[in-house]
Amino acid sequence: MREITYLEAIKEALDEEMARDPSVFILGEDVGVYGGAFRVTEGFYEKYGEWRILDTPLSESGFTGAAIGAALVGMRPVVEMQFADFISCAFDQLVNVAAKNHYRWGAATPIVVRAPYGGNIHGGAFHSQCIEGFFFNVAGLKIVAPSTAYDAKGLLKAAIRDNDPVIYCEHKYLYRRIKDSIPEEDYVVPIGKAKIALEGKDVSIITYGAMVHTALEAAQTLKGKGISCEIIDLRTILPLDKKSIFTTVKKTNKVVVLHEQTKTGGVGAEVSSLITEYCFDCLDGPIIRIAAQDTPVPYSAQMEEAFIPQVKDVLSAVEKLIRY
Amino acid sequence: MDIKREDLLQLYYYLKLTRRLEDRVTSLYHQGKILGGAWTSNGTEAVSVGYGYALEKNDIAAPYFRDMGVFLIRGISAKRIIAQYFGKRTGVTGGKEGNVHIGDLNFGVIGFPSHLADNYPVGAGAALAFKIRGEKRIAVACTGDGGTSRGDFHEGMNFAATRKLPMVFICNNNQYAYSTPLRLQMNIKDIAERALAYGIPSKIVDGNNVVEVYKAAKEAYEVARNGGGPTFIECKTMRMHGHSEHDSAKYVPRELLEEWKKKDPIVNMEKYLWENTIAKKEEMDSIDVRVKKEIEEAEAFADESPYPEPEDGMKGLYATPIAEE
Amino acid sequence: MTVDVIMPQMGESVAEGTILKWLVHEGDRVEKEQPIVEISTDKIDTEVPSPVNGIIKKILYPEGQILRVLTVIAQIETVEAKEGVSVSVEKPEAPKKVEKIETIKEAEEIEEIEKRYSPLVRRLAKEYNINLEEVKGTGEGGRVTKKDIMDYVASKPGISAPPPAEAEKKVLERETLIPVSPKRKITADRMVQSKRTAAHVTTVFEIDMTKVVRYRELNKDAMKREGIHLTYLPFITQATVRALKEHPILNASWTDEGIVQKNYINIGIAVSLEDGLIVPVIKDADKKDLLRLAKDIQDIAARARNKKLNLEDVQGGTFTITNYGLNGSLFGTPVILQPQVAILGVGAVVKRPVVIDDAIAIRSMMYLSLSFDHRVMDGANADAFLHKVKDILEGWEGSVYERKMSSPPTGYGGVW
Repeated sequence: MREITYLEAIKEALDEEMARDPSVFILGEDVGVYGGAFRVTEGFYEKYGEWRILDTPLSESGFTGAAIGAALVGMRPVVEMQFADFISCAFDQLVNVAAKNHYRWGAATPIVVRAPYGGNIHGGAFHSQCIEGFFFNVAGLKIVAPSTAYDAKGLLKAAIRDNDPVIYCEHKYLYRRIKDSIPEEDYVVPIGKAKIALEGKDVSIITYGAMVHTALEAAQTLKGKGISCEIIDLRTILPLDKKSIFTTVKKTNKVVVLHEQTKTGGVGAEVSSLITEYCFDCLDGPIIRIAAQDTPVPYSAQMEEAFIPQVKDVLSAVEKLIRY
Repeated sequence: MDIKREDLLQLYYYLKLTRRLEDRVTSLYHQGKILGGAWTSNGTEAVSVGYGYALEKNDIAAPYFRDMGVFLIRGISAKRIIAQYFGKRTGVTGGKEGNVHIGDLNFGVIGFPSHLADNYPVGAGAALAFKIRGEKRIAVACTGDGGTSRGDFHEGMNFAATRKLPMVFICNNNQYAYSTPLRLQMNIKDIAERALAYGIPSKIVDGNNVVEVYKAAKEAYEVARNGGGPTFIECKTMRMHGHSEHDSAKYVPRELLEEWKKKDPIVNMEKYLWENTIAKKEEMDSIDVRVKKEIEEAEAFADESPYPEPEDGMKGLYATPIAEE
Repeated sequence: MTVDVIMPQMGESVAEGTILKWLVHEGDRVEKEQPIVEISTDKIDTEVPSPVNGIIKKILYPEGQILRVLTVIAQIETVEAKEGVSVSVEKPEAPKKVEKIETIKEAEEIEEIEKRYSPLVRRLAKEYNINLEEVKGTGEGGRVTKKDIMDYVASKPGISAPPPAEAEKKVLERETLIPVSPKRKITADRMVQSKRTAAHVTTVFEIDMTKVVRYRELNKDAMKREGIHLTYLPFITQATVRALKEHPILNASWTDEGIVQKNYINIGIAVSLEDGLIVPVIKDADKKDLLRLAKDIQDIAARARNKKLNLEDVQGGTFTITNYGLNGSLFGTPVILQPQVAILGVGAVVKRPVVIDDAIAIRSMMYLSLSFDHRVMDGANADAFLHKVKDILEGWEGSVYERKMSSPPTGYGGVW
């Protein structure tokens, strides 16, 4: 076992998969010579050469389409969006080509699109967005969002080995801020399975991404006040692990859904609906959603702090729900 | 380049097969037997037959919706195509897709969405894979004049040119994108000029002359195969029917249609075979009989085929289903 | 005043930096923008310039130290400040946090909480059979909570534990709940209703099918060329039809006005599908010869399996034959399909030793079970009918017996 950061976990997953499987290759802007805007692929160009780590022109739709074409004839491309915000340029290829290929004409499209997302980094409106919502409603895609270095490595490997198009949401804020112990041997975190980040019995907090750490911090404080929180880390956004969601609701009967994505029409809305539809008789209080405010991401630090859910918001919601 | 006699006869056969199948579909459409819409390549068959026939078995095609000739040449049977038009379970996509939305990797044909020119970058991607793996295979993508206005047309060509991929880009310039004539689509005379912008050599050919298209395509494929990078081939032709079979195309001036009717690609080929004493009349007639029979049998097959079950619509979403526990 | 020099954050995701080299010492005079230290982060190596004019008051960390970004690494005393006074820079007040939780507040405004019971509370009250009015609520606004119910239950020894929740049944390993398809439900209803309506009696006859077997052997290849896979069912159907003509009471329906005898014969053939039974009907079976019957039976069975039957195909039957012999069953007691009055069950054809003229012979034997409605007829009628069927099958021969067919039949007009 050794400790690595979230970013190193992603890098290792890419490196190990590229070494293991010659059909894996990476393409994106500045991934080669520069080593990637966040240095995720540093050293890869020297190790794997310009035909396995391709510096592309500034055309997300073009190189995502190319990734799809390569995948159809047996490659396993990993596309890097420099910032998740630019994924909208490739919307058509992802939604109308990649997502629908297998359903329409039986052709598997094993691409992974890495999207560095999330705020709290003074990036402003186009370097901080959470993009999982844009694709949540598109049947045929898979979306994953790890919150720990361990899951980051395991989920990326699973995504690369998976035969469907996977949008891999890596949270930029977590890149160098969190570490985890990982085993030496090869391991994979299955897509479609949530994880209990913290066991508890009084209230469930269902969340993913950087917000898992916000929830954990809040849970620590709440423990001191005698409130036991159960935290479910979804890990996979699409398809949702309904079983884990229903199991925790049946256990605690009180639910807070927490995500960094904006509130209206976010993943939390779907989770809430599922719970009311299938676990109505298990609810001892309303389902509370904590999410970013419904605006573009503001720039100034004070405004961004108000925009993104903070530990205080979680404390406030849980305490209210416990008193209800 | 010399073309073998058998190949010329095959080109003629495929022209006739394509025309017959699509005429039959048009007729069935007017009888209300086609599920949904019908799009044909009437008048432009020489483009798809020409570039399709020049491909090697292991090459990959990323066609668009006026490429019936390519589907037939690559081996997707008329049976499955008509069954798809009827929405039957035995259609190419088992009922999941309809009309010309055909794709089957067993025959090296990449399925396309309705969004035109999406297939340009996708085709380039296949070519990229071939280059990475050092294979002597090429990819070809085709779109109409309409598709050349979309961003993906440009992004795909740029990507292929920058990386010098083994790729050929075809444009079926049939002069109308639905009701929009060329002059409302672009400010240039030849679409081939666009290739210049990406540093791609281009050719302009008579899209109603299957031999010319075939030769140009074959040469371009060899250039790509030998590492010479992509070529852009603009085929000048005319769309003789409406955008789809519901469209009477009243917006096309009658004179234009009359002029191009005289240049029908099948009549052209017959003249060519006849005048150059390449084929006897009996041979051409027997091809005609063969084609008629093939399409009849295909239609009968499609008629007798069952419809899919409604529940089949829930299947096949993921290639790697999520494991149940 | 004292001004802090901090480890800068260069790059959105950088969390730490290393002090490479101090370019000044404590006590040195520095100018604004003058580089005072070299640092290294994951992204970049750079110099940090002085924020003010002043004197280096304190260097807090040595070279080589790795520090979190925004840590104060040195302090500079500005020359403008008065001696001995140091004013620390105050951070501007953070604006008030926006209250994010609106849901509960809005809900409160709608009704009084104590009369509002959550879904969980209502369910528990139902399971434990509790009157919610009696339970004291300790939740917000006097709401009854789950804890309140459980405390109430604990305090009243008379309340029994609820049975396991319906939903849990699905999860228990020893039972599996299979939802009932509409088809299954209809079949279930019909079966029970038939048994309740008709007075079911079953009579069984043993049939020597040897002659039929031989006939079939001789003619099945010729039939195959016609596209027909010849089974015993067309023979039995033909025999049934002929017997029904002589005993029409079995081809009828019971009504309040009287017994309605049908003057047409539509034979229903039960077909077993994955999701249940279906009984398509051969219309006017008395007007069809063996070949035609064989063709029709094959056609409707195939169409039944491919789900291509029309509504008329399953309506209007007057008598039903069910061939469970296909599954190996020897005899059964079939249920009459209302509003018919009889149903013939066909068992498997099995070679058995039988006694003929006081000697033992091996013959192909089959049991026919006829269930009939005792309201409409007596055993004598039923047995007479079945006896006729037996005679026809056991004497299966005609002008074509023992004569192989020379050429395949060309139509339906042939005499059999």
